[in-house]
Amino acid sequence: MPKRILAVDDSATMRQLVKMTLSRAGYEIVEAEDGSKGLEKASAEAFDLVLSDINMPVMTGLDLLRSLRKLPQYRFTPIVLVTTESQAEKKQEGKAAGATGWIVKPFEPEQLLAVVTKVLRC
Amino acid sequence: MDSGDLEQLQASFRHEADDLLTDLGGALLLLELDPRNVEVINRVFRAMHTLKGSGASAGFRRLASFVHHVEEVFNRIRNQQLETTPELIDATLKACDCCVMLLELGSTESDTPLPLETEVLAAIRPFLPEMDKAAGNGKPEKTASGGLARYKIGFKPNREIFFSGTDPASLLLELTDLGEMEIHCDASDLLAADPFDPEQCYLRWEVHVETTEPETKVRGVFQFVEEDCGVSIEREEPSAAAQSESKAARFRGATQQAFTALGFALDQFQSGDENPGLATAHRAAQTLISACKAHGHARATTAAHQVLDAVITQQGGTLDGGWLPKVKLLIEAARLAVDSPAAQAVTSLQPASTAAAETLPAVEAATAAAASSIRVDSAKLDALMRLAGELLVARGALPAFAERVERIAGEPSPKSMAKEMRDAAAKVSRLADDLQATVMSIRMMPVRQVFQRFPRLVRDIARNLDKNIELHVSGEETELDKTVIDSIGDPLTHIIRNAADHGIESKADRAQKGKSLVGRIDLSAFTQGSNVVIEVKDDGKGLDAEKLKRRAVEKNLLTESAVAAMDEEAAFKIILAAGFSTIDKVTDLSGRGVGMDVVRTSVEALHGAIHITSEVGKGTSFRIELPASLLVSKAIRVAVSGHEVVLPIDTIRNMVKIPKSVVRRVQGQQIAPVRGAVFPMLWLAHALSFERVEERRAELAVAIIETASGPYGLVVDHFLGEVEIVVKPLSGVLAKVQEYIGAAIMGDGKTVLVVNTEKLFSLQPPAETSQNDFQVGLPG
Repeated sequence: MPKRILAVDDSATMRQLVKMTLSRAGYEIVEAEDGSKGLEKASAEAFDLVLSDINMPVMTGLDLLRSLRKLPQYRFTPIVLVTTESQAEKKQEGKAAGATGWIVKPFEPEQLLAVVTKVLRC
Repeated sequence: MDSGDLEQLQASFRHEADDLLTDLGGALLLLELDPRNVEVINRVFRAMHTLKGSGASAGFRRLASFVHHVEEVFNRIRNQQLETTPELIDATLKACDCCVMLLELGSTESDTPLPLETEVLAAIRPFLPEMDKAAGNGKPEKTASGGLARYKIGFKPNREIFFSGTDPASLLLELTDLGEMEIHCDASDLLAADPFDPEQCYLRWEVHVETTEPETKVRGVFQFVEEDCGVSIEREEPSAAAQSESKAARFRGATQQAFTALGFALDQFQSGDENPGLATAHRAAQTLISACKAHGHARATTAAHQVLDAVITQQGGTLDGGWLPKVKLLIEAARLAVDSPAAQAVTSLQPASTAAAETLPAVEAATAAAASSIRVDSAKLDALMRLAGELLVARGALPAFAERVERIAGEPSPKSMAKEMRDAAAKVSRLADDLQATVMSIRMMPVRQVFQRFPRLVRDIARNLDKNIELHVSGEETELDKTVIDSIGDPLTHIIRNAADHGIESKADRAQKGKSLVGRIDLSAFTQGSNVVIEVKDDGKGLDAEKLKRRAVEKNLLTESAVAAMDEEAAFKIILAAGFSTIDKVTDLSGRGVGMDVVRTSVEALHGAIHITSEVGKGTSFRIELPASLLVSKAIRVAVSGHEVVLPIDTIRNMVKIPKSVVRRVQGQQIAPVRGAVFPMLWLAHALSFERVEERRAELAVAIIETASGPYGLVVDHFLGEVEIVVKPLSGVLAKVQEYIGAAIMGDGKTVLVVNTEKLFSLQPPAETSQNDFQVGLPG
């Protein structure tokens, strides 16, 4: 069974980049275009990893992260934030909300793959 | 990522960037009206942010770095360090234009800045504290692998580590990638735990690892947890002998494992599990590459890369069945390269890599084709695919049935079979209908695409001419055929520009007339029957019919007698004539007398109609009626003087039979009452110059035709029924024949002419008709 990843980003380009990179590496990718749609999909299906942008309309990545951690099935699931905001405060906010890790845009496909491989190792 | 991927990604980003820039433009105009609106500021910021982030990821680094500067300005506005000013909005709008240019430059971007780029950066410089920060955080760090080093790592996870989705075991496993390691677990906290909470982490570890990787890589394992966990990394000295021995052993072990995995993957592929097989092969090839790289084995690395490339190409689905032998050859070559560092493995790779290169043109062709694509809702495409599938299945039933008929040849064909066949045929035609409707819906797009450019247009004109103009847009979700959408932009631009430039008066004039200082233009779209109506209404000075007529005569566009016979609307339409302009002063926006005639020709080309209503001092309204779809339309077949022609159904209000005796003649025009209203009558045979067959019937078949200039009754011999047609415009000499819109190809392949019911009445000699007399009351 390939590992399933939920990619949440309001940018279609970013979703495509993520999908292209990760599906090549054998992962199954499901896309969502904002936090609330992501939450909807995450509640309906099971994922091994959630990759989410921070700055999104309707529901931000941080709010999605907090909501996911409240769901019993996502208490220990890796959740990685994808963001251009590399500032310490966002990382801290993300960490405090239960983020597993982060990747800073723009990134090379190999960097993304490295982070995903890292958090999905077990 | 290969070049095909990048192109695909860039194409996708171009689409997205178009949308983002449009949204940005809209948001900026809102912001100008409401400079402190936090929501709008955030919207602007987010659009730029995405533009920058996604742009950089799709390889538009120059665009990203340009946007970064502008984004910085809005970041400061967001943080209330700056206020929005009209100058800033101006500069940002220009920045949007600049982004469009940079998008066009794309990946061929040079280093010379565009003039506009320099201008925008100069304009926003005062708003920024420093301008030297570049966008993004660049390429991943590439560190050369040094000699073998030994590290002692202490790892004491935070008790709550599981709640961040991190399993400490995964980090320890990751360390095994670096090299040989020795690991000790300290469980003393676990034993002392009271009460014991299974969701907490009580363990801590001490790890010794020998690796050729740099220390940053070791530290990188803990990058996400370093701040919350106790992590200590110290360097220890390994023995020289252990160094070279373990290095070679590790390389052998790692490559051996990778080759085994590759073999397994190919077996999987061959046994039909193609995708999982390829995914395994992909990972194995990557492992092989990193092992070869870590060992500093350049030739083996190249060979391994070629294996990976072949796997990726096959994953892209571009290679044929000949892939398997090719990739086996590549793997064999890689094995040779790994085993003997001096082997000539590289040369033996040539044939296979050439074959891979041959697939490139196909990828390029596919990319070129995508350039003229339209984006559609994927649900619509799915529906299309499903219908097409059903259609094929349904069609398949017919030959099978024919076979059965053949087998029982000789017997009289049972009625039930004929029924079965009819049912199958009915199903096919129903599916074909659905399929057609779905395809049509794919072509339908909201007018928003066109409308969204106008707020900016009106704003720029208003600022240039020092007017206050509000543009109110409604009905943006109304859908039109893509062809119509593509060609309606220009005419609408001319009408709106005309309204803003000539329609809306200067502030002084408006004040003098006691009007609100703010001029208003309403742009709306809505559906009416099978037509879509687009209206542009302004509250400006209106059109003066007499002035237009005088002007047309002065410019020798029309004769005195021609203008004298014109009604008001016909006079208004003079402004749509080529070479006509009422303005003496030519502005750079409009007034050169070109443009408004584009409106007429474009709308006519779309089989649409224009109406103009206007009142001096109150304003002007342009109403454009367009067929929602150009592809397939319904029509009524009619017989006239032994010929068959079709009437487009969208112009027919209803079809009636009336007694011949009710037709009267008033002022040279034949009229008849139909259901309470009176309509002028036109004999189709007469209008199309057919020989009129003497009618002996007491009843007339009449189609009441709805036109832009009013309704009329069209008398035909018989109605033959409804039909779906695809209209092809007439070409060559025939294109000048105004009585017909074009030729229609019927279901049976026969060609018939489609009557231009919209124009037919007005084509009649004026002596016989006068458009103003449409609704005369019958005497008595």
